[in-house]
Amino acid sequence: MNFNWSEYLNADTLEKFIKVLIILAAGITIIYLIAFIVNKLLPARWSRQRKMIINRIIQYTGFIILFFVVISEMNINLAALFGAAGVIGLVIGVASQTSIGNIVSGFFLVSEKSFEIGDIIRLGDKTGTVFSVDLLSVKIRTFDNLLIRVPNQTVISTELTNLTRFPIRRVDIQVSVAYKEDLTRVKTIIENVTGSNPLCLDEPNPLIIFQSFGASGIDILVGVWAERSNFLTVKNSVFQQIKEAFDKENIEIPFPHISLYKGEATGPFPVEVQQKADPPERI
Amino acid sequence: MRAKPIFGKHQLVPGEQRVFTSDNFSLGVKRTKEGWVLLYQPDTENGPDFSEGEYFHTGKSNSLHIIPALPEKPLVFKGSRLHVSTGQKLTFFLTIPLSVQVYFSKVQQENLLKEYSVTRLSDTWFGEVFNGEPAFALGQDFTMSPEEKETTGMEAVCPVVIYNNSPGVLEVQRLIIRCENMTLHQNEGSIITSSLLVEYKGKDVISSASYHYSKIFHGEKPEILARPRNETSRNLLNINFHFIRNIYKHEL
Repeated sequence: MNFNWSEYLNADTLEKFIKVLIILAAGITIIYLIAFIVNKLLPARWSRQRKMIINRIIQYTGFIILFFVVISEMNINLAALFGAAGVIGLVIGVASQTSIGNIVSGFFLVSEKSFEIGDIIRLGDKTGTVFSVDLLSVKIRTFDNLLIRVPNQTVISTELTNLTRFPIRRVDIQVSVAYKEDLTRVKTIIENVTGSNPLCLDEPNPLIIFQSFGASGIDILVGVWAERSNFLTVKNSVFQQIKEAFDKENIEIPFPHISLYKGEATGPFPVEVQQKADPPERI
Repeated sequence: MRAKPIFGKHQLVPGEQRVFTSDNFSLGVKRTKEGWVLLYQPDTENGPDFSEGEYFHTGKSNSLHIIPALPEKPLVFKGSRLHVSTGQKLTFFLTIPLSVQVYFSKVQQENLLKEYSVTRLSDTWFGEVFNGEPAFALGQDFTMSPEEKETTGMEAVCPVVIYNNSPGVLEVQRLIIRCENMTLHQNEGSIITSSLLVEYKGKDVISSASYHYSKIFHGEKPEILARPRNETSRNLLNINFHFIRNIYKHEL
């Protein structure tokens, strides 16, 4: 088979190739430059996510324009290309169903504004900071510094909790006290603890609910409000202070225990104490 | 009421050290060749141990300014015992604990070495849980005249005037005091903040607030001790009164 290389590798082709390279280099530089300048000009109060979307729009539009400029420079017949696009589109469409689903889901996610870059979200059993919202996926940085990529379609179909949407959060702590304790006194002690912690918000008032007569003691829910940035500090300090206050006031925090009864409902289970047999003598 | 003379400009030559004390605030300062060592609440009996202090490398200026400052977050006054009838003007006074700012060379933001909160006020929230703003709780104590309560050198008196321009009685539940917009004046030994004038126009109408100098409260020629942290007045367009709702009504 005689292939005539000179038909393709000639001065004319080389000139076109160099021209295309220059257009590509200049085009890419201009696209990134415009994106950079626009990013700088956007109001500082705008969220990172909004800025990122505008940035992406500029970049994607720029690359589409650049693509057509290169195609026309290479004298490729666009009509034929579009003619073939019907068949190619069908093939690509079938092959990239998931990707297209993710792109569409991405648009819904962005328009819904359930979260933004920098928010802390819980998605299924994963919790972390939103690192980026991309065309196909949302990337989450977990607290142990792992990057999780979650496809947009999964994000849209999964229950999502935004932990930092509102400026304050309630820190719920479960406490249990023994049945013998005076609940009014217990409540006062907890109120004193929450009242003396400067990081616990004065308002909204702390919530103290006697929840249930539990298996080992009376379960109490203590809910204190804190600014979201102080969430962990408040959780730890209130927990620690309640324990210290209960110890000081001799309030018993029960642990699981079982009472055994024999026959009648309240009769104690008979226990016989026997002297331990002497160990056999050594020979 | 009195203001201790720790506030103002001080000159310390390299190697010199001094302890500034006023009520419950005490600060040890040591001038080094090109910096300052600051030691908060030093041991006054055995002498300050500056090896535990913080060092600030600032250059050759020997000037140090100790300036009073108002808390960095707004304050929420719980005025549930106050009622103002239609068309009436109520004047009362609050006591605000002061912070202390230490500057080198000149009093300007970039020269701030450290700010000390002498009294830690409890955090609180002003407004609804989804859109309010963080603040410090000021409590519910007030006086009808500035002489009623003796203030320390680490406290300022804040005159508040509420004018009820609404058709109903105003029950002051929560009032926000935006101390970032207030100036601190010194008049006859007392530290007095800008006077707050709030006009209440009804529950669903945003009330107007202004923080200003008043000859009645500040005297003829008061000395300005500290300028407002925030010179803009955009935040004054936010709500000034908040009426409490039971958010646990539907808690399960």
